[in-house]
Amino acid sequence: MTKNRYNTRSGQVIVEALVLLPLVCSCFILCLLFFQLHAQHLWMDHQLYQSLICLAKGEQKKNCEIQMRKKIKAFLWMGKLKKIRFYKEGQKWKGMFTWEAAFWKVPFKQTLLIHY
Amino acid sequence: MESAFQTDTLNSLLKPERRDQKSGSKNGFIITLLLISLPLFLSCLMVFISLFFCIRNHDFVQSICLKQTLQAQIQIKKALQKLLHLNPLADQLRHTQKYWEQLYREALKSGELTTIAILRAKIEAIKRKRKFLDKKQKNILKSTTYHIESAMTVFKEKTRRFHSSYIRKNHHRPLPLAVIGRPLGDIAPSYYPVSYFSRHQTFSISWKMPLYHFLPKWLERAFFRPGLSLYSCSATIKKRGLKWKATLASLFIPIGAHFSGTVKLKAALMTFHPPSSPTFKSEIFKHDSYKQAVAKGGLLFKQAQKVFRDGYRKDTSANIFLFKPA
Repeated sequence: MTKNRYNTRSGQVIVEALVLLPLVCSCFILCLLFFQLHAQHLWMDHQLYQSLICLAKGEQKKNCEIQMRKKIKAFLWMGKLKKIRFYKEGQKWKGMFTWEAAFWKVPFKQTLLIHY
Repeated sequence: MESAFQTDTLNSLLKPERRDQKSGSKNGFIITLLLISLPLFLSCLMVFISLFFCIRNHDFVQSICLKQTLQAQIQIKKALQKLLHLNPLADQLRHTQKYWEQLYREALKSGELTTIAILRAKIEAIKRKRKFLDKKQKNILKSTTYHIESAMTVFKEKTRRFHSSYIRKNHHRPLPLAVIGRPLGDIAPSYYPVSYFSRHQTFSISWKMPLYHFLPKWLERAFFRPGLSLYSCSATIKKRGLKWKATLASLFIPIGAHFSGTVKLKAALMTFHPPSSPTFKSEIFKHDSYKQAVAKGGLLFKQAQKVFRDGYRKDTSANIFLFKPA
């Protein structure tokens, strides 16, 4: 019986890798993107709160906004901040903005309660 | 001569492992690949989780700090209002005592014993009233210390689980209320807020996040200079029209507390602040301490600047104002 040339397992791994590696890599990249977006969301939320504290200290609105933009942009890979608005409502400082990237529009809103 | 079939069969029977070796044990390659990438995935996850907890913890501790400092200042503001409310009475008693004492001196000259006795009794009564008022004023001033200590205790209690360290309270007077009695040294004086009251009245709490405890000492020293905590919040009392209001403030550090004994400064007055309040900066140079320093002819600005840079990290999130204490 001669050796069957066509019944061989050589190259099996390469074939498997070619099929599965893109899947594994894309899953990994998606996970990273998920973490990055969440981290970005967390950071923007945090900076919005810090900007309200800045306003409560008596700083000018424009200066607090500039500081907030600067700190957010340091970690912002994509998207832009739009519709930034700060206002005082009674004993509360309120701030909001919208993060827009491609087809995404994520609103951010924070309140700081100050007792006088 | 052996046939190929015989050779193959013989090989498969006698040395089965040789066949495995020839085909190669590449089974499980993908699982191995996944196992290799798993630590990378897990480390990304850990970084994200750490970031999440750091920011959330910081915000939580900061909100407690803001609440406590503001509440302390609200109570101190009430004490200030009570104290200022007693000023007309203090003035009235002081003037009355002066008046009776003048009459007493005149009566002594005239020698009228009855008048002298009556006036002496009146003066004693006024003095007793003034002593009582003085006690009342001092109690109000002492109560402000209680409010500060209470705020610190509550802050430490609520942040205990974060194991925050390097908690420090800052206030720039012997007592936490920046007032001065006039006439100086008199019993039951009238109390007035000092000049630049809001700056002197600032009460702040500083803390260090526990994450830095896990860093080795040499690394911590390289990045985090001693003397200035990384995080802080401050509150003060400001006058808005006729009303006093407790409000958040920027951090103020008196020079005496940090440079004593290390550098001889004829005067050191500088400001490090984000480029956001030019009016604030111009106010510094109108400050009395700065003018006195310039008048003495020795503003060692460069020396003070060097000491400040060596001793502190520039904080771009707060206005840091150094001034010579009055």
